[in-house]
Amino acid sequence: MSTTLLSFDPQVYSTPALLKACYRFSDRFVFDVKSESSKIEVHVESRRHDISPEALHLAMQDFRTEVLDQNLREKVRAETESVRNLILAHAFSRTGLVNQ
Amino acid sequence: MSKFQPLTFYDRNGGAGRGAGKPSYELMPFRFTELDPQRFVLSNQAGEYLVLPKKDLYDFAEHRLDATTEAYLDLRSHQFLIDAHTNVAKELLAIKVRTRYERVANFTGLHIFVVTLRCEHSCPYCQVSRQSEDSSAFDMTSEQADAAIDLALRSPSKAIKIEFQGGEPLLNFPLIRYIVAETKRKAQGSRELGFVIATNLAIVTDEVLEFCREEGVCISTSLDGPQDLHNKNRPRTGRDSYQRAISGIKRARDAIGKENVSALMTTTEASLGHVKEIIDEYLALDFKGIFLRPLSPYGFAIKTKSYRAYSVDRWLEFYKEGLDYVIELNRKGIAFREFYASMVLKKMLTFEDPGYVDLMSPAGVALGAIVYNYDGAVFASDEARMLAEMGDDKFRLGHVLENTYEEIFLNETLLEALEASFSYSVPMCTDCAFEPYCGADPVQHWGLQKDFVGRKTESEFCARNMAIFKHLIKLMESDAGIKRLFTTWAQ
Repeated sequence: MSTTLLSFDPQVYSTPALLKACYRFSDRFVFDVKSESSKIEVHVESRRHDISPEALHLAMQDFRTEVLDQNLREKVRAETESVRNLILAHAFSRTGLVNQ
Repeated sequence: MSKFQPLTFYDRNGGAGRGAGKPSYELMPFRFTELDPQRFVLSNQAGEYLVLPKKDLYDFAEHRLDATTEAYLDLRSHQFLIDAHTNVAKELLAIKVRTRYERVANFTGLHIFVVTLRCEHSCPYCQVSRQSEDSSAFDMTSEQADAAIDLALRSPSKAIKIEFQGGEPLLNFPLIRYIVAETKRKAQGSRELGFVIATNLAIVTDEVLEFCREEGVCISTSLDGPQDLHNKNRPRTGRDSYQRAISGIKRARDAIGKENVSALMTTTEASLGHVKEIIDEYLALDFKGIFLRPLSPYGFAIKTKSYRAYSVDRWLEFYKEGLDYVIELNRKGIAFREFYASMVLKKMLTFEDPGYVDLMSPAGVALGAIVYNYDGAVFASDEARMLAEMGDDKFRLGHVLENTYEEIFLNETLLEALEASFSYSVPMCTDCAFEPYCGADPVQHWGLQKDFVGRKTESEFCARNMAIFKHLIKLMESDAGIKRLFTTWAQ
């Protein structure tokens, strides 16, 4: 079998984080993401038809870890967005590279 | 310094770094990427990196990291967080970010003049699709050269470097002589001018070397390794490319000084497995380092299938073996460096940018280098003209006799490529801890995937550079001696 269905809690995981994880695995798998109010479903299909169930299982473990990491990145990005923009504005404020 | 705090700082009941409840600190912007199954690499907005166990990173991001730990102190001293003990982190980061991007304001400093496409070598991996020696239709004219000089001198950069490339540029030596004289005359001392001839040295004459000595022109040549390998890679009539290169290097050094003669190698399938012999060749000639370069996917390298002759993994194996050998030489007291690693390390360990076109974001196209081709066409980079010789002139920005400076540098394709490929904001790169060290390379991605950005999961550029960044950091983390050595390479 080269397909599998994963389900994620939207209260915990953001859709952008899931999509970024899918993108990172897009050389090996094809994804279909469906978002509902109670769950986000990710349908995963391997690009290789001869993938073994064990290999698919290991890859899905890696994928879930990637989702966790992407979710954390989203959290850090949201928490630091204003200061990131502040630093960039300060960095280029006297360079003539941006409009005052 | 963070590691010297008053005792009250470590007081778990009353210290400002850690109160009775949740530690009080604010996250600063950072990115992280897996280094290995146990560790992440984190980089801050200015490109400084730290390596942390995965658990520490999660604790840090969830505001659970104990303020008395070494990880906390490292994070704070590198502006990954601010707490009651730090109040200048934002300003410090801003200064570091500004320093890192300083070169962008200087615009294009490197101007490549392809004075001819003719060549007397017939290298199967030639990335510029050279033409035979006798077809003068492939020479730049003095009228085109005049217009190109005017464009080059419009650049706001104080330092202008003009590099003569080919084919074999010495086949049109009179034009080189003309361009050097005219550029100096037109600049009237207002710029710091540098000139380099990229030549295989096979037809170098005493007249050429005397000219280089008088005019302060440097020489960059090709040396692929020991005699057998070099001659196999670089065939010419007489099968004496190596002998001519070695003799040329010696004569050039005598004429213009050792420090003004450099050499570059290209890795072919025949080079694999011989990295130590290649490095030994450079050592024997008393070069101070080597640039271990893979083939680029252009010109005859594609046509003759040289480019596909080895995979990224096989090249990385070659590169890592070479780097190990260079480190071993240094351990024995022989000062020698690998130049690609040195450029990456400069980005990792300092706030300077070495300005290497492939590793620039915004992309190096037109900003890092500009090419005036033999027929007067202007290209956004050396790779862009290589792509054009394959029939794809996507990155042709105009013509020296037909377009103005503004028309060339405000070319829509160029602006679109620069904006679309800015790695700060493209998929995967935007979250990558190595983004500050990497580049956009829209030309290579366009050439291989017909897209300025390219799908990074399928990008050989991404796979190769990610592997190198991780390898360099792992080496530094595993051995303090290597960290010290790499720090000297970065300076």
